[in-house]
Amino acid sequence: MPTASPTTVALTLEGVTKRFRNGVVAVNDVSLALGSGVLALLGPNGAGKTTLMQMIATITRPTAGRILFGGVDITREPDALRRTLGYLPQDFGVYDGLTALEFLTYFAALKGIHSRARVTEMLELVNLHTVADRAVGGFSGGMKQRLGIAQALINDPALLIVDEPTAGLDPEERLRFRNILSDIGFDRLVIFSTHIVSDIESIATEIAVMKTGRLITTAAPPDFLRAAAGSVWEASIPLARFDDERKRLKIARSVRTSDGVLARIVHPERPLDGAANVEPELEDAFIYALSFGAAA
Amino acid sequence: MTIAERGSSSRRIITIAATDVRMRIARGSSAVVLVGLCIFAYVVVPDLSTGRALMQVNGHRALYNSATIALATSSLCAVLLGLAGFYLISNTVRRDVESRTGYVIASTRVRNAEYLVGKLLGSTAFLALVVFVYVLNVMAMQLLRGEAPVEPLTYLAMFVAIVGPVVIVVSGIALMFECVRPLSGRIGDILYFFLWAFLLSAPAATAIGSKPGTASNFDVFGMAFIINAASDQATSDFHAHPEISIGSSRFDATKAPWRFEGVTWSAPVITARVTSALLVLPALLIAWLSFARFDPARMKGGAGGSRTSVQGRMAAPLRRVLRVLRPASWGGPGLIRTTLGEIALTIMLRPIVFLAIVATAIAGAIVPAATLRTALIPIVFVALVATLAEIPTRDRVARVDGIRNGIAGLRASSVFAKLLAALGIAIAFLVVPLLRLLASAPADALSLLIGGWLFAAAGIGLGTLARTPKLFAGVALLFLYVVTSSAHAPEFDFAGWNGAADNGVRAAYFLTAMIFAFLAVLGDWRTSRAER
Repeated sequence: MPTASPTTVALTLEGVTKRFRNGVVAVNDVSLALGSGVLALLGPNGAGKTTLMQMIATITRPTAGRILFGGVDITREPDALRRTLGYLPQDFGVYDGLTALEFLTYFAALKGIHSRARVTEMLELVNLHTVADRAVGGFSGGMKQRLGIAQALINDPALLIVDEPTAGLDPEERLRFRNILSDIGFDRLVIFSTHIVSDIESIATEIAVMKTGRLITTAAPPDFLRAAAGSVWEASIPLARFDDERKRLKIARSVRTSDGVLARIVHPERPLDGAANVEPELEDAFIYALSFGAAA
Repeated sequence: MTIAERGSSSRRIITIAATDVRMRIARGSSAVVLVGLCIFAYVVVPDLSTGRALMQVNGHRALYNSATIALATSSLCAVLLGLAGFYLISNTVRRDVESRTGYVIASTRVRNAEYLVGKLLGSTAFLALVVFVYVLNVMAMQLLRGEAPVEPLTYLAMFVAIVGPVVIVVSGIALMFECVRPLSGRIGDILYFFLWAFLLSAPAATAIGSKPGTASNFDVFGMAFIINAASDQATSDFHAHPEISIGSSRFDATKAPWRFEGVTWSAPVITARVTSALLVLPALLIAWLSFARFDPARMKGGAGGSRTSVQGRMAAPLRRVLRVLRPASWGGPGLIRTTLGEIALTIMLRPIVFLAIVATAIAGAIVPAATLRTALIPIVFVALVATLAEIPTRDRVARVDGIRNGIAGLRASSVFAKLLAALGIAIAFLVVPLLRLLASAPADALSLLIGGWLFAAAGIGLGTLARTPKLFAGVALLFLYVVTSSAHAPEFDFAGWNGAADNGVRAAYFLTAMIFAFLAVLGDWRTSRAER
């Protein structure tokens, strides 16, 4: 792990909007204020998560609004953030002809890091040190993703942006990666987008949900769960009726039983006779925010 | 920051350039290029005992000394590298786009200018390395076949003067084409061919019989320089306007060999070569102004991509007409269905192909016979290069190869379907010229059909083997240039438009086409084995 240094992180988004040339509004009037911690960015496909992250990472500029990092408008002065940014894009690829060591050394050099020890440390962190001299073209998807994580962390960033980072990782690697993010998030800011709600369960200090370009809710995990309290139910549904009910209701999870199907349903009111109210989990709260939240 | 962060501009530029070279060298195709250079060097310096020589002036073969061999081989190298080099290196930015590493680079403090200069230097260094290997091979050939001691400094001076500007300018133009959105695809590949032909011929045409002047300042390929260098001494030796031939040709053994003493390196000559290399600067400036820094909102294929572009909007009505081609409703045997699917996909992805086929048919029906042969058919072959080049690689680029391979029976028939589809598209382009030739000169029609099959097979074969459309584009366009420059040579009349091909030539091209088809099957087999 990189040695954590106390860093004051303050990222502020003010009415950030991204409208593409074809008129599509990918991100619409998003405002946020963040200190250190792990922000989990949730949302369905096309919600605007990746575009928002690309704007924060200074890859594309907002068409309206401001993004301030440490009080500096990074759309005008991107270097203020770039010097201390780690970014892992979605579907990160590699240069097939390079070894893992060469690949990481390249990105380290681009970030102004010329310490061989730091490169080795990062390879050890992501458990690739034993294959450091192997061409990355032969790596599995998970190994490539770990290399991507290593390059994002190589400059010990104050702000780490990772877009769907756990895709392709096996359970053990996912756990390892979650622990890394959790450690970093103590005194830095990590923005982490994912479809897999369980990935953020133990590490998120803040959850933001996006839908069709808008930020529909931002809350700390306990508040996020509290919002869904009283709206999560469990009911046994006869198999013959299940297809119809599935079309009508938001079913978070279902398990086949001898009586039919035991369904976990998200609904503001009792959806079925005999449905029992249960404690919400993050997945339920996410569905609630998307379907029934105030801004949904 | 706890991690010491250092880094000057020059350090970042060198890192980018060095990594680019390392990646290129690691590619298997680089080994193929280097082996090809060895073979080329062996062929380009013919053994005098065969009755052929590398250079002649007024029928006198030039003595094989370092000055002669360096001048002749560097001029051939400049011409070939000017074209092939472009296709060899014009993927340096796209590699970062496709791997998405560009996003990471964009999120660092690397300046656009640093990135572009680094990429330019990387391409330049790689091409320079290719030239260096070629020079070593040529010097080895002089040891083997020469008539005077090897003078490395003569080689160095000649190659730096002639090929140096080519390496620099071609690298700059390739970078510019990658950064300017409309030039970054297949259209750019084709346009570069015409730019290359223009840069090659224009300065030479204006410089024959004259001293270095304004035209030679834009003489990137050194043609005017070479002609002047040889003609100055030859004029003085023969007291007449010299006819200079560079490249392997038969010589008259009864005439005494002519000794070329080398180039006089005057200030105007050096200035002209340096000035021609400076053409890289406008190319770099355009690249810098057009570089999108991986911003998806500004890049092709990003949000708001091709379907909403001007071209996409123009093609929209055509797409509706082409819906009839959608393969879902087709029946028939698997190979035929897959072949029709490939043809339909080609047209649906680029509806302009359909328009080009229709336009070719109309033009083919109304133009005079002479225009059909000398203009329309060559243009059709250029269009075929643009159309066929991406067929073998598009599944991999779109990352749908895995999906396709999962469909029962498709994997086995895929390469054959692509070959047949490419042939089908070639015939669709050529059908009207074929019918007209069939009526007037059936043998030439057969040549044209073989020529269409040659391009179809080469497109799929080279694309499948090299896993890039660039190799076919480069080889085919260079071949077309040679063919159009050799109107009366039967051996180059591959498609019969010069009416010079005989049955032996037809058989040779058909055999070549079959070899390309075999390479396609071989490449596909290699890929399928790697997937297992």
